[in-house]
Amino acid sequence: MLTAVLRPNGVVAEVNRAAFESVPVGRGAAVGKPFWQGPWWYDDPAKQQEIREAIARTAAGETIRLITTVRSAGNHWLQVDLSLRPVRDDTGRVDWILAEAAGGYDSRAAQDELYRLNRELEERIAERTELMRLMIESSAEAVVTIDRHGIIKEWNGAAERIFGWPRDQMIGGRLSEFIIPHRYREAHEAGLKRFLATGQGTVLNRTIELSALNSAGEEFPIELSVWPVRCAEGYRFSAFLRDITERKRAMQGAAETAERALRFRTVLFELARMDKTDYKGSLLRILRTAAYTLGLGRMVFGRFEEREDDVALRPEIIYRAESDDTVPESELGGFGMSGYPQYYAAIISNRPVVANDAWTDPATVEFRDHYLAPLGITSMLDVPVWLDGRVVAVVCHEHMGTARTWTAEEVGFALSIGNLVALTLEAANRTQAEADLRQAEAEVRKALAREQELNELKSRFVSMTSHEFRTPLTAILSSTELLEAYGERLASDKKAELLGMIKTAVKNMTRMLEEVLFIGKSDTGHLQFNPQPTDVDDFCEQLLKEVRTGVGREHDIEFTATGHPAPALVDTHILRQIILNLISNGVKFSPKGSTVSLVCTRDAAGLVFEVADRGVGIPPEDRANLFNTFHRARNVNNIQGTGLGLAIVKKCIELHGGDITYTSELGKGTRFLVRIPLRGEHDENNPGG
Amino acid sequence: MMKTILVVENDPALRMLTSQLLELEGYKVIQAENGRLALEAIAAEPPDLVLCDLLMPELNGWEVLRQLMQSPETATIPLVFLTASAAPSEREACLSEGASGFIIKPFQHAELLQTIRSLLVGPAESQP
Repeated sequence: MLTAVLRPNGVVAEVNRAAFESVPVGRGAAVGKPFWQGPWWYDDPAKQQEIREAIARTAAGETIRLITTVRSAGNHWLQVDLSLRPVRDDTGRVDWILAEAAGGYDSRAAQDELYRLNRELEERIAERTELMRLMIESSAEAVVTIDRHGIIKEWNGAAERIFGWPRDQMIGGRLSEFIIPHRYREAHEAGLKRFLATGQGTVLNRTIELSALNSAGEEFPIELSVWPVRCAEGYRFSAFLRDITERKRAMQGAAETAERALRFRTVLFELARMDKTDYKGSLLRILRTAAYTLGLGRMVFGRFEEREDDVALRPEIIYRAESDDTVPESELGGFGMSGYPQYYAAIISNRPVVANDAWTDPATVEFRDHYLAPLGITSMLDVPVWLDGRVVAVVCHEHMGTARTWTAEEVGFALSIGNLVALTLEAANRTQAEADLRQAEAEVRKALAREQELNELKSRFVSMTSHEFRTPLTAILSSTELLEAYGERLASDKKAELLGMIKTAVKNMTRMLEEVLFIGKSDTGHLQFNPQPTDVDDFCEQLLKEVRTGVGREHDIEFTATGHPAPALVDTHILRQIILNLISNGVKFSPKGSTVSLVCTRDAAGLVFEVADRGVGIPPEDRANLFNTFHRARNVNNIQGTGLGLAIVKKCIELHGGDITYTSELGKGTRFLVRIPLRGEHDENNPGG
Repeated sequence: MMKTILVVENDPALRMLTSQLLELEGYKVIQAENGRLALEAIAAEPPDLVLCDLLMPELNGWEVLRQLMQSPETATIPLVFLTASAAPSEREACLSEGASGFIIKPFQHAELLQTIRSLLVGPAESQP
């Protein structure tokens, strides 16, 4: 339609006649004037500007194609294809511009529609493409595509982030050299080749875990899915890759948490099963185990004690992990709880004190200056110990070094430790209660035994006196009745004999009474001890004379003295009882005519008396109770006696501070040995015993 | 004929007193100071009655009674215990064992003499 030759400045040099078919003017209106001022674009400044700019570019060497509209006769708008071409001279300089317009179809509406559809389609395609690009770009997953040689074709933003390589560096590069660790590269190449050869691939169309390299050379775990994509040049491989470092860390963390929970449970189970009868040992083991399990520097077990106007927390055991020992008792102080109201309120209401930063936590801050800081304790986890319906103690888990955050599992573990300590306390209480009960039982049993003993003693006394007194009483009664009934028929010597018998009987009874009274007095501590300087030999001689005419009438009483140069400090009454009773026994329990001997010697310690007989002897079964009151050996039941003789002897010897031993053989005889210590004859102010 | 009574008593005073009493009452008295000697005496010359203490050395009254009960010649001889053992159960046991009497010291002469008279058939007086 239109063909024009323009100068580089846009002025029309020549234009054809056909160009003016649709405009009301002729050639003259255009030639010599700028092209954009031509009649085709008269009242459209925008188009004029457009053409003007296009010409300027063409003058610079560009070939321009425009789709534009021109006015035609009848006020139509025609769409034309305008091309502007630069024409160069030999030097390459743009000499002329050739302008050609073609088209000019009048089907404006259809053309418009086509134009519009075209535009729409292009827009949609552009949209789609853009959307895809955005999706890939914004994907959290790295999307990487390689060709069959392993060369990177696509590399999205996530890939940039994950691997640290920028796109422009990666496109065209070999994937394996960048992100695949050395040890996997060969397998990667081989896998590619295998797939291309056989159509099989172990990695393809699945999700697998691998190690990859980032730009810093660090290995990290990734999860990837790869699949082949058919394309013009054969195959491409697209992969979605995920950095699973975090996931793996979380799984590791969960595994570690589970493992730690299991360890906690195992430790607690072991401690629960432990035999808790050794109170101190059990507590120490619990504290040590808790410290080791939680990695703590110190453990404290403290009890609450009521003081006059306050409750004090008194540490009973302080365990130090580093030296695996306990603080000595002497160094343990106490904390008056009135100075730590928040701490006390929490613990006493059976709640734990969980202080990650013990220096600032309101429940523990009061401990800071004189406890936490000097010891370097930064975190505390204190749990109550509940026993018999109230909190009686506290277990403190103390951490030194960088402050730590107590996890829920650790708090649970610590609470369990508190419960185990409570169980140990309960076991100790039970043990103590059992011991107390046993002791009470033993005491009751002892009291019962004593009562029984007393009853036995009483009945023995009753039967003894009844038996022993009957004989002299019979003698008195019989003598009296004889005198009464036959007094005249009896000779006077016979009468005298009867009267004598009465007197003897009375004497016997009196003696027995005195023995009983003597024992009674000695039992209640009323015996007097009155040592006087005494010629012992002489004393013994006089005593034996009495015996020979009395109870020892039918026996041979021997006395041997080894000579005592100086008087000894003895209580003669007491000594009399000792020797008299022993000799009486010797006489009583040995056959008529046999010998009963008394030997009196003296050694460095004091006096030694020996009384020996050839009598019935003492049976082994009776030896334990020989000196017991009213005890009578089983082989003497037919021999008169109160059973008090040896008891009296023993009491007397005790009073004098001496001791008595004996040897005996059944049927052969008995020998008693009495030792009386003397403290120095001239020391009259020293009582014995 | 005079009746013979064997007095078995460990305590010399009591033995003397009892024997004295019985002699004054017209009995012939044989004395033994323990069970063994008593049995010997009975073997030698069986008495008409035995007056026996319970607790004695060498052989006590129980044994004496048992020995007497064992042989038919002596089983008929009445034996009276004269003892300071005052337990009532003792009395029962002795009587069921075969003792003819059980007298507790100290005793009234009348009691003893009455018991003896009732056990000995025939007059205590000697025949002219």
